[in-house]
Amino acid sequence: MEFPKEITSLPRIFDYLNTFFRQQKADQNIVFALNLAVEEIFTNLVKYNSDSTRPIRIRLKKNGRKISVSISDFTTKPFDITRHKNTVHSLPLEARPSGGLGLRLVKKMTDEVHYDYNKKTREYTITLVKYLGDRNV
Amino acid sequence: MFEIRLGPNGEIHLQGRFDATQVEKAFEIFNQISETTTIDFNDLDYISSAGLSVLLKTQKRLKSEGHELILKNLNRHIREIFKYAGFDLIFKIE
Repeated sequence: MEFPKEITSLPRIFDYLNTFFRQQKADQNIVFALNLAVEEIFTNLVKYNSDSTRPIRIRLKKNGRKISVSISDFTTKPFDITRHKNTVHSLPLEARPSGGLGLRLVKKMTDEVHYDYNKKTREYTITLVKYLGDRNV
Repeated sequence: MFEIRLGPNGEIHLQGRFDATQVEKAFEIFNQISETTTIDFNDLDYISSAGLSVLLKTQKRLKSEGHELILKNLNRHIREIFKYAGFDLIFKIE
C-alpha cells in the first residue's frame, strides 16, 4: 500500500499495520516493535529524503516464523541504515542532541534489518523483520 | 489518539499514543512546566523517538534551572524503549 510522504500519514499507516498484525494474531511485543520501527523509518524518510515526493510504499508479509515490513522510497543518496552507528544513548544529558535515537531503536526492537538499493530505478527499500513466538506460528 | 492533561496536583498525565504527529500538542503543555514535575505514563500505550525528544528537551531546560521531570507508571514496552535510549540514565523513574 502507498502513503503520501507526510507525517500526517502515520495514523493510516498504523491502521494498515495493526489490521495485518491482528489477522496474524501477532503478540504485543511484535505490534509495539514494528509500529515503532516503521514510524522511525517513515519519519526519517519524510524529514531527510527530499529527493522524491512520490508516496512511500509499505508491504507486509508473513513468511513462516517471520513477519516483515518493507518500506520503499526513491532517492539519489541512499543511506544504508544497517551500517549506522549511534552512540547518543550513552551521552550525558547536556551533550545529547534532540534527534538521532530513532535508528538505534529500530535496530534494538527488530530481529533483522535489511537494506536494498536499486541503482537503476533508484528505489530504496528497508525491510524490518520480527520473529513470531511459538503462540503466533 | 493521544491526550495530555495537567492534573490538580500538578502531575501531567499522558494517554494513548505519543507519536510524531503529537509533538506540537505535547509541547503546548510541556513548555508550561517550570519546576520539578511528575509525568504519569499509566495510560500511555506507545511512544516513539519523537515523544522521547519532547521529554529530552524539557528535561534539559528544567535541569538547567535546577528542576527535573520524574516519570512514573511506565509499561513494559515503554521501559524497554527508555533503556535502549539510555533515558533510564537521565530521568528519575519511579
